[in-house]
This record gives sequence, structure tokens and C-alpha cells, in this order.
Amino acid sequence: MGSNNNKKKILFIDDEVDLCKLVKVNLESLGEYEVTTVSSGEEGIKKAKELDFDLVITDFKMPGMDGEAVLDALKAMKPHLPVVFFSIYHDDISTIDTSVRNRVNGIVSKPIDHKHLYEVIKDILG
Amino acid sequence: MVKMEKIKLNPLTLSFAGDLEKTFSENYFRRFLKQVRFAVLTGVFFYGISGVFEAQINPETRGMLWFIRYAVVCPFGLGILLFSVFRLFEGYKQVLLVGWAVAAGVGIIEMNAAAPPSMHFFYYTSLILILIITYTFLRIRFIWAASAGWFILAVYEIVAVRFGNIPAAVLENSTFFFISANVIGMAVCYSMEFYARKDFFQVHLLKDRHEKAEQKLQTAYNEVRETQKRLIQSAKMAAVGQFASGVAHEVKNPLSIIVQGIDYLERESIPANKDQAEVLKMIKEAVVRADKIVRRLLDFSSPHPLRLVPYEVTEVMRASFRMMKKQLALMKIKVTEDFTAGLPLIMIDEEQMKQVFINIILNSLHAMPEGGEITARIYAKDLTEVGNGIGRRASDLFKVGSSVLICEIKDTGLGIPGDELSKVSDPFFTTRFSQGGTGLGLTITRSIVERHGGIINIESKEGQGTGVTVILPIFKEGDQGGQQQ
Repeated sequence: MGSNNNKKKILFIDDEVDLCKLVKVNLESLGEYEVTTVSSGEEGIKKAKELDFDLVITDFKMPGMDGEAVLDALKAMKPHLPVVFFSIYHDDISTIDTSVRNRVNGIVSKPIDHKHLYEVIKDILG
Repeated sequence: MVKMEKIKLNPLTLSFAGDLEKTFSENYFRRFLKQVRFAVLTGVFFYGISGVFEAQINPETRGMLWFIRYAVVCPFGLGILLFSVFRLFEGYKQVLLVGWAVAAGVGIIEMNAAAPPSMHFFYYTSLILILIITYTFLRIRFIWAASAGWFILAVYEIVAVRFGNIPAAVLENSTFFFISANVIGMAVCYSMEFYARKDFFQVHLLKDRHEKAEQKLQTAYNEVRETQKRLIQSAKMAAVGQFASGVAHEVKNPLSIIVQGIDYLERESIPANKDQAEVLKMIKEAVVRADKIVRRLLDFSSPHPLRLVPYEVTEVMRASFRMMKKQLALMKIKVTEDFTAGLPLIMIDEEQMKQVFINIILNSLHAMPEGGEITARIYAKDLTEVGNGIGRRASDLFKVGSSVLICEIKDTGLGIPGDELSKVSDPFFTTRFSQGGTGLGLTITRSIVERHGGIINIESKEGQGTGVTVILPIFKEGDQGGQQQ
């Protein structure tokens, strides 16, 4: 495991592959995180089963499994795994129901710059 | 079948009450003007032609008799004919016609008095003819015709008794027939005028009902049109909302990539190059602007739910002006606040209501590039008049009698041209596209006000300024309210 053992592991799920790449590069450049990216909810669940993550950041609206389904599956599997929604609907109660909001550790709005995303992650992972 | 209202007439004079009499007189005059002219002409003709027979029967007194016929009565009649072409005739018609009938009658009586008894039958018949024409053909009003008829009879009796050239038996006989002619004439005249008035009254009633029905139809048509317009507008808004949401969603992801990409470039490749760093900064600012527009689209397509709490509207308005203080000062805009003290608290979402006022103030600001004045007023009112969105339709938010708070913001700016005024609340309508206007400000403003159960009215005159009035309901205890969450 080596130096990787000190790094927090983040799973980033978004159907925008380019966004996944950039978020990974930006977060890993900080040296504190190891980011795994996948481009669908189904792949995300599969990865979460295989590996241990400290945080999952997932898009809310995706083809196939959406953010809420991902959340349900993750919580069923690992109830204490923090999950953050990465969405354009951050402040829309009609799209993201209050009961769903209460079960996630945060909702961040797209587009978010690197600095703000880091602050949100730091808040959760310390 | 339509039930007719009963006709109300003075039984003696046959006059209508009020303005209707004037309308009837005008109508009656116009309707029978030709007949009256023809009657006068006929009267003049027979009055003149009988002079020829008269001369044959009684050539001795011809001079005096002809004087009455050709120098007094016939010219009088022709004068009336001539005068009847003028509008002034309408006002003097009754007096002139009665005067002429009396002159003709008295003329006959004079001629009778001067003629030998053998001529009596001639004048007696003439007088009966004059009574007939007075009561019928001349269309003189009943009360006037009857007065003229009885006056002529009275003169006949006086002259007959005074000059005494008529044998008593003949006088009795002719008196009986004159009275009979007068009574029959009165009955005919009364009946003619009564039925003319009745016809007029019914036509008037039908016209009145027709006008009212037409008015109702017009109102109903306007309502249908208004409802149709609203339906089209809400369908349009729904379609625009759906479209906006789709666009926002599609745009947000590329924007996220751009933002993250800029962060990467800033960190990895360009920090040393000042120009390129500047370009990246510009790109980032542009993304922030684009994001703002997208946020507005989302606000519009899926508005934030209201968090209603009892709040003082004056405080929200004051806070809105405070937030705009710097810009207002910079643009040399004077603000006058006139808020009634002690207004009731109303249920509002403070933040969203602030957005309403700020949007309105911003619009005023843009309308006054050379500076100017904004007057803001807030006061309570009980709605007493039907107006736009008030008591006109069952679907209107406010009824006459509703208690409301009126918030007015008036500026002395450029105003809105008439053809643009109806479009200012339409989504994407903007005159400031080049300055980054999205055309959603007023659409969102209207939507927030309407979700508060209120209405917004915009009045404007190009070159004179614009006034925006937000009317918000004051809910009394126990009211369910019209606010939508």
C-alpha cells in the first residue's frame, strides 16, 4: 500500500467523462486524495463493493441509476460511507426531496471550482 | 318571450317622465317631418283653392275674404313650410302649427261672420275640415290640438252670438257637430299619439335590451379572450420552463468542465505568464456570468418554494434600497420613501420579496441613465374598485372589499414604449441583451408576487417614467389565503 495508505479515497461518479478526468487531476494534485472515477451509477456501486472509499461524490441526474438510487444502494451496503451529491439541482427541493437531502452529507452545485470543492471535502473528511 | 315593461305616461299630456320625453320628441319630429310638410302644403292648397269657389258664390265680399286667405293664412302656412327646413323649426313646431290651425279656423269664422247666411254651409264644412287636419294630419300633440280645437269652437260661438247672423237652429246644429268633431278628433289624436308613444317605448326598450345584451356578450367575449390569453401564456410559460430546465441542465455540465479545466490550467501550466493568467481570469468570469444566467433559467423553471413568515414589508423594501444604495448614489438617483407606519405584518418570504423589490429597483435604475428620482410608497387599502386582477372575474385573486398592502415604486426614467409594455413580463424579453439582460427578471418577479397571492401592475408612459405596483393580500385571522407554496 505504501504512501497511498495516508491518502483518503474518493469515488467520483459522473456521466461526464471529461469532468471526471479534471476533478480527478485537480483533487489528486493536492496530494491528500486518491480519486477513482466512474461514469455511471452501476459502475460506481460495483467499485464501492470492490474497494473501500472514504467518500463518494455522485452526480444526481445520470442515465441509468440516478443519484438517489446510488445513495440507496451505497447506504444499504455501507451505511456509514459519506455521500455527496454533485448536482445542478442543489437548491431545488422539488427535484431533490427533503428526505433524500437528510441522508446525504452534502449537496454541491455545478459548476463548482476546485477551491470550493476542496472545502466541502475537507469539511467531511477532515 | 321577453316581458315588456309597462309604459308610464301622463294620462292627460301623454308625456313620458324624464329624458325619454326629449328623445321621443326628437324622434317624433324626425319621423313625421315629411308628413307635416305635406299636411301644411295640402292645407294651404285647399284653403287657397276654396277662395275660387267662394268668389263665385259671394263676389261682394271677395276682397275681405281673399285678404284672410291669401294675405294671412296661406302665407302663414308657406312660411311654416319654408321655416321647416331649418333645425330651429323643431323647437317651434308645435306653437307654429297650432298658431296656423287657429289662424285658419278663426279666419273661417271671420269669413262666415262677414258672409250672408246662405254661405254658412260652406264655412261650416271648412271648419270641420280644419278640425280634422288639426287633430290628425298635422301631427300636433294631443294636448295642443285639443286646446286649438276647443279654442276655435269657443271663438265660433262668441262670434255667432255677437254678430247674430246665424239662425238659432243652425247654430245649435252646427255647435252639436263641432263638439262632436272635437270629441272624435280628440279621441283619434289621443289614440294616434298614444300608440306612437307606445311603439317608440317598445322600440326603445328593445334597443336598450339589445345594447345590454350586446354589452354582456362583449364582456363575456373579453373574458374568454382574456382567459384564452392566460391559458396560452401559461402553456407558453410551461413550455419555456421545460425548455429552460433542459438548457440549464445541458449547460451546467460543460460549465463545470470549463471551471475545473481553468483550475487545472491555473495550477499546472500558466501561473508564470501574466497575460495568459489574465485570459484565464476572463474566461472564469465569463463562466460565472453564464452560470448566473443558467441559475436564472432554473429559478424560472423550478421556482424556490416560499418560506412564509409574518414579516414587515416596509422593512424588506428598506433593506432592498439599502442593498442598492451605492449604485443609486453613483447614478445620482434620489429615493423618496413614504411608508405608512404601523402596517400589519403579512406572510411573505423575505428573501424572495427582496428579490422582487431589487428587480424593480434595478429596472428603474436602468431606465434612468442620467439620474432621476424613485418614489416608493407602501400603504394599506381596502379595494373598492374593480380593476386589473380585482373583482372582474371569478378567478381574480382579489375581490372588491379585500384588504391589501400596496407597494409602489415609481421612477422618472425613460418609460416603456406602448407596444413593449405588454411584453415586459414575457420570458426572455429584454432591451438590455447586450448588457447581459436575460429577460427573466420581471418574469421571475411576477411569478414570486403571484405565488405570494398578489398581483403586479406596471404602468408606464414613454419619456415620463414607470410605476410598478405590487398588491399583496393582508390575511385576516382564519383566512385560508391564496398563497401557493
